[in-house]
Amino acid sequence: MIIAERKPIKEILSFLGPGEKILVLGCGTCVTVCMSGGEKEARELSSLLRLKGWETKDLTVERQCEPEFNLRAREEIAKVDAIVSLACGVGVQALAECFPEKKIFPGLNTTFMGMPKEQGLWEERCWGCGNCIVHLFGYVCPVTRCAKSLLNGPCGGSKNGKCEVKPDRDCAWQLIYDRLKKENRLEVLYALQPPRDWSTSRYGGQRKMIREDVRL
Amino acid sequence: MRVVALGCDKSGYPALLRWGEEGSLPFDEVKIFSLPCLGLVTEEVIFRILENSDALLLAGCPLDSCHNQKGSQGVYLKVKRVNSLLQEADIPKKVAIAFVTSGKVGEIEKVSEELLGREK
Repeated sequence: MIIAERKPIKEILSFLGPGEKILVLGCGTCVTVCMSGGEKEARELSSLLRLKGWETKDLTVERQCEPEFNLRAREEIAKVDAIVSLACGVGVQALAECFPEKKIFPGLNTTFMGMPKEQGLWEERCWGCGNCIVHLFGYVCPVTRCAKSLLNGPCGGSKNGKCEVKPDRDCAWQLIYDRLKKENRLEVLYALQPPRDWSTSRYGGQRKMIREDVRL
Repeated sequence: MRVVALGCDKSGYPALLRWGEEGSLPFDEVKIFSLPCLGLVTEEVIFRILENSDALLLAGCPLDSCHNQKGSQGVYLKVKRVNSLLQEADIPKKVAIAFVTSGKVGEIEKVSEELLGREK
């Protein structure tokens, strides 16, 4: 899922004009699960803004990244001057495309695609590089989880299973080794990985996916 | 200062009532309410209360002997979070929590002083 965190309150306040009617719009999917932009957080922020003197409402749509859900909120949106969106960057942009005349401000900083590890802790797992090869690495993505994105690791800086760049993180190559050992597949590591084709990643600008089989 | 006080049925509410009966309260207005357990108090409830009052005083069972085991712990974390949000937004309102047994009001008096900004 997409992980995001709330922007500092003062930054959010700096977006808003005095006397504006504000809608705090939550998103019911990823940011609800990572506890940054769901119904609960939307209500909290809405209340906080009221305590600061703004007239606010709050609402949460199922997914702000899909226009049909945003359009269902059109009546509430019509009544306000500006929206603080508690969605990821995709949601904010989708909302802005649905309501081109509205002022919309991001209330969150989108951080990464990841998973919850324990209560209150989320870790990155995927870069969305467009060419998944985790099966070759014991299901541990070296592109994302190795600080150097090494496909032929480990580097010389792995110490006691920890990364030299971020010593509080597990060395991805240690995890790869451990997993493959458990599966009796260590021979996989003898294969040299060729340089990666990054054309599927994001370096060439915005990416698009077209599925002719489902287009109308 | 207008204060709302919420206490759990088991410990906090009886202590709040006793606190009210024992002496002159240090606030202009105090409204005392009971609820089954402080664990029921959410951040949303706290913010709603603060929209109509200056401070919120919560009174519940001691952390290690909550009647419902985790109620006091849960609300403690929520209060910490709400206070940090209020501080971040420069909102001069406060939430304080007193962990009490039903007969003892000393902790409530201490927490009231905190709310008044006269920490001992």
